Amino acid sequence: MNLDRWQQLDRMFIDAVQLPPDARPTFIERACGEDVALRTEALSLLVADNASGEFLTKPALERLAEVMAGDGWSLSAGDHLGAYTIVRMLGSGGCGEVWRARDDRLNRDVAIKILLPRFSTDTGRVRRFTDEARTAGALNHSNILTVYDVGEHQGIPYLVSECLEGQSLRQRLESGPLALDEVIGIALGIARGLSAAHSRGIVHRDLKPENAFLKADGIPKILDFGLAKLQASIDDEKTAISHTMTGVIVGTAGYMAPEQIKGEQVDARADLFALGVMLYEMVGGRHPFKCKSTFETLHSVLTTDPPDVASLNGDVPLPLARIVTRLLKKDREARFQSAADVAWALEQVRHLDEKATAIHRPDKAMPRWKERWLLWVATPLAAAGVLFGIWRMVATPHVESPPIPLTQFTWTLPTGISLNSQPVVSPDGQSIAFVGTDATTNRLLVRRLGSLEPTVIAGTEGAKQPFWSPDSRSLGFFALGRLMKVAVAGGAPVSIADAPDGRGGSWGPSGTIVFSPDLVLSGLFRVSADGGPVEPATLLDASTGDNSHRWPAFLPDGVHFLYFNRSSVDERRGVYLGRIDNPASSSNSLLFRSESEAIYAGEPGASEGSLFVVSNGRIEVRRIDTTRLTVAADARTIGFNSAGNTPYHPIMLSASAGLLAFTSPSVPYGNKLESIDRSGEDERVLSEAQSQGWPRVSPDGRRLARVRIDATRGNPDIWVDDLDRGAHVRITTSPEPDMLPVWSPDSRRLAFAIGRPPGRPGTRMLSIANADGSGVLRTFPCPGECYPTDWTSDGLELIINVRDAHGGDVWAVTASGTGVARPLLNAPFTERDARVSPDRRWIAYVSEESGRPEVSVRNLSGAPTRVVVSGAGGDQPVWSRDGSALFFVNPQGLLQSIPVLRNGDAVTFGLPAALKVPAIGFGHFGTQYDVSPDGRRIYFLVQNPQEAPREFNVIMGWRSLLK
Amino acid sequence: MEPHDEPATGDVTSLLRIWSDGDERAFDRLIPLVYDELHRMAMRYLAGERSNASLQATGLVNEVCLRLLGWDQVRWQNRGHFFGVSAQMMRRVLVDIARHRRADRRGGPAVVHVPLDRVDVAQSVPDADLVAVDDALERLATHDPRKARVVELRFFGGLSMDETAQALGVSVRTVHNDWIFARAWLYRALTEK
Repeated sequence: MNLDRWQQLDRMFIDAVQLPPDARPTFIERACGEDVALRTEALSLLVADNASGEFLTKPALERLAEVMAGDGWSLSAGDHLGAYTIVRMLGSGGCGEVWRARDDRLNRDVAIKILLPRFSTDTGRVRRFTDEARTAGALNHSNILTVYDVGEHQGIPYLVSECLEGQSLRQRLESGPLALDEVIGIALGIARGLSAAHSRGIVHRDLKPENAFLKADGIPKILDFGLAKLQASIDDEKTAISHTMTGVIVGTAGYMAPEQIKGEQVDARADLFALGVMLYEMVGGRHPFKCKSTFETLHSVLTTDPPDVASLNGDVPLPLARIVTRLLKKDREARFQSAADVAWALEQVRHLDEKATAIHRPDKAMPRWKERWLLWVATPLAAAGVLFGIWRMVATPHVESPPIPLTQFTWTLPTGISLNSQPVVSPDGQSIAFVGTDATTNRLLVRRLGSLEPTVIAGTEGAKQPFWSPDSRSLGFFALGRLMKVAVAGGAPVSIADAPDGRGGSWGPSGTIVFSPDLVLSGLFRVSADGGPVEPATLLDASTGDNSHRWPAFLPDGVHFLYFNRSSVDERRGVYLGRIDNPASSSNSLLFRSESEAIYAGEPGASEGSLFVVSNGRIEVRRIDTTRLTVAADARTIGFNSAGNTPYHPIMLSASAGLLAFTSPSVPYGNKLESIDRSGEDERVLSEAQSQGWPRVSPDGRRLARVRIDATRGNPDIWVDDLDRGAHVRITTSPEPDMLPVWSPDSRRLAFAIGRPPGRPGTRMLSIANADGSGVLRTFPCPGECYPTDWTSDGLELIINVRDAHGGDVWAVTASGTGVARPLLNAPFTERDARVSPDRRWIAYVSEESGRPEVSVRNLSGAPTRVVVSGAGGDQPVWSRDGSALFFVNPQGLLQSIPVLRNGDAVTFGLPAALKVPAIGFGHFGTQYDVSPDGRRIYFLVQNPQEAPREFNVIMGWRSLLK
Repeated sequence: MEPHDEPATGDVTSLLRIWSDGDERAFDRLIPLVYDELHRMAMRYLAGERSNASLQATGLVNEVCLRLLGWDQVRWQNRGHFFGVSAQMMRRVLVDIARHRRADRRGGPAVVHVPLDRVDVAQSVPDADLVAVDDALERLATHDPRKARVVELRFFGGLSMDETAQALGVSVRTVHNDWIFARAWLYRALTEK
């Protein structure tokens, strides 16, 4: 359909849908007249519109989420997961899929269970899954499914195990009654498997007939060790107690022991209860507690003693019935105390030994599995005697005391360690905590004032975002998907709550921690520093554009806290006030707009404190009235070192009443403009540490034009450097991005592209300005989105790139201001970055006909023959000013030179030879180097390495900076 | 401080700074830098609990882009541009995920030791197949690139009419008309045999 007809159809359709539905066909009939094809087209669109319903009305992400929730994780035959090749699906369940796969290394079949993606969101739980799967992998017992391996596929953990043939006990129960020796064999196998697991401190917690697999040879295998916790807590349909963020462990209703239902600490004896239920089912032919609803079932487990299994099945030997009864005791102290005891008792039954009637009573209970690592010891802080006098002043501030004298110094981190958090000042002003990173690992370090070296806090691998306890004795932090705390004096870190990807915490005077548990779409939560339930502290309403509440900071009353609201809506980004006892209170409590969070610093008991924010690379301080909860409108800037005063210089800071610690504005991301002799000698830096690009040397060789991104505005402008005297002049000042300059042949003017101004995307203009900065001469529209690549040597035309339906074409546009354009290269593939030779007989450009960028040359005057001169890929062609060479960059980023040999009218392009200059880089947008007119020097850009800071500043008495 | 734990990926930032004319190649070079992370985060979202109806795709896209590209410390001036990039990236990521999902998943006849309590249900609404939508959108783009962009921004980018209009520099009315037409056209393309 050609453009006219398309537009005709478009208009007619839009007009038609304004009408009531029944009037539309008539309208179309009339509007189309005899044009049957158009009528058919329009009517079929109306039909489609009518039927389209919800089509495309939900965003694709949500739509895909719905679709994926409806099915499972999708692998397919031939896929590779690590060393395994997927063969076929064996089955899928509520929370995972099982695939048969081939272990290519060991040449054996394996089963791979992979979780459905929606169960893998909680990194804490996934970590426990993999940890426990590894533990289970260490279990080598003939009655436990052998786990070979765990891995991760696109962030989703999977578990590799032996591949079993047979059926689950559930399937077996449904297929008919079991013989006594079969029952005993199964129960014995399970008991032995459990015993092996329990002896290693592993409790299954979700034992049930689905998890007991009977191999074809009848040997039972316990499945899903290590998965139990995860599975239990996510499988809402089968559990009654929903998990909290601290992770109450639950199992499957009907197999959970009473203590498990009650949410108590579970030990090995819970598995014995589940075994009892299974044994009851096998022997009695029905479930001992099963009721209509989950709730009733749970109630029954807690309160009802099921009928003796012997009353259901007269063939049951009395000793076996007693075993069942004993396993089902509500009080775990009254149950068997170990799986080994159960196994022993079952063996007695099997042997039909008279002694089996006397059920063995164990002497001592198996030690309960305990989270021993939860213990931690807080020891008194080290003696304060080592402190200098001035630190005492800082440590014991007094409202009436004179300002502490200003002292500033810099702390450098130990060799090999870089800073990976803000330096966090303790509330007592005595210590600074921070995350230090060696080559691989983050750890917490604390440096006490007056000590020479920081101390590594043991066990804090992976830590981030530390925050102090009010007594300055402990640190809260995030690690391994959890909110943790650790005593500074030593001791194992303690897990407080799940926090998959935390974004800051604050520890209030009353022992409550407010924290941001996750990166995406999370409000703040509160939890006692001693653990316990996790409850919302703020409510995030994503429909407002807000996407994260983070970086909380308690105010001295311990009730209110500040936090940063990250929002896609500019007006909503800023510092907010929350109340821990009222999550709903914070939604409209914007204190002030900000692009960074606020750090609170204040003296205890004072009614005023200070808020620090980082704005445009400066530290701003505002007064906050901590009683009335108001913030002064005016911010004062701590004025020092504003050399890096740009938004691209993050500063990390924290403060207490007397102490301020912060990193210097970090080295901005950017690059250096350098030049080098083409022999590789005499490298010089022209300008440093800026975001800049597209260098162009003037034809007279005296000046260089480039684009520099304005540091504060982030807007590209054209700058001209005087190469002799080193002066820099900004040529453009408009709010639009000005880019990709090219010189007029007389070196007096510059043509460049004007990018899309904010709010008016799609428009593109070319502009010509005087190169001395005296103003813009004219601006005219492009034939499309475009930028100039060359200015012909006669000064008449600009060569421009125009983006169009087939990638890009090369046009020429008159430079005189009329802007009349004609296409030069418009093949149906991308042609770009064209340069006309100084004699204007050849045009060199990048052609993507082969799918790979190649530098091509075409005769402009005679027959349009095309020669690919780069051979193995190339871009950024540049002619030497005398036309004797053509430069380009190969895919390795190296600058190449092709000799251009003339013999009368005939021209031969020689073979590319590399220049001995640093790599330019391939695949740039536009040309990112230039060659001086004499062909001797190459101008190019060098990226600055981005380095983490290795030191931070400490200021005592920062308040005097505000005076 | 806010910017610190989410450092701007240098190359990305630079590319974006330089890239303000929508050049396709700049986008292509941007994608490898952010694709993996965006993919991971999209998967995380897809895997997540969505009972909360207020969760929005736009929130995620914004978050991803802000996080990856460090735009929240840069105070991105050109929101339209931002929307455009995020929608395009989201399209690529989601279509890839959908394509992967579409792959053959025939089950074998042998042992099943996981209860089969879920059955795939044939999807009736044609946008369930993002790969097909993507293909149809390509065809629409050959007729009318702007309409295809509208769908990209609305459907893949999750933008409102207003935001779409802002991103494209056209009136809301234009976006509205483009949207109605494109929906009908795509629906027809996806349902007709």
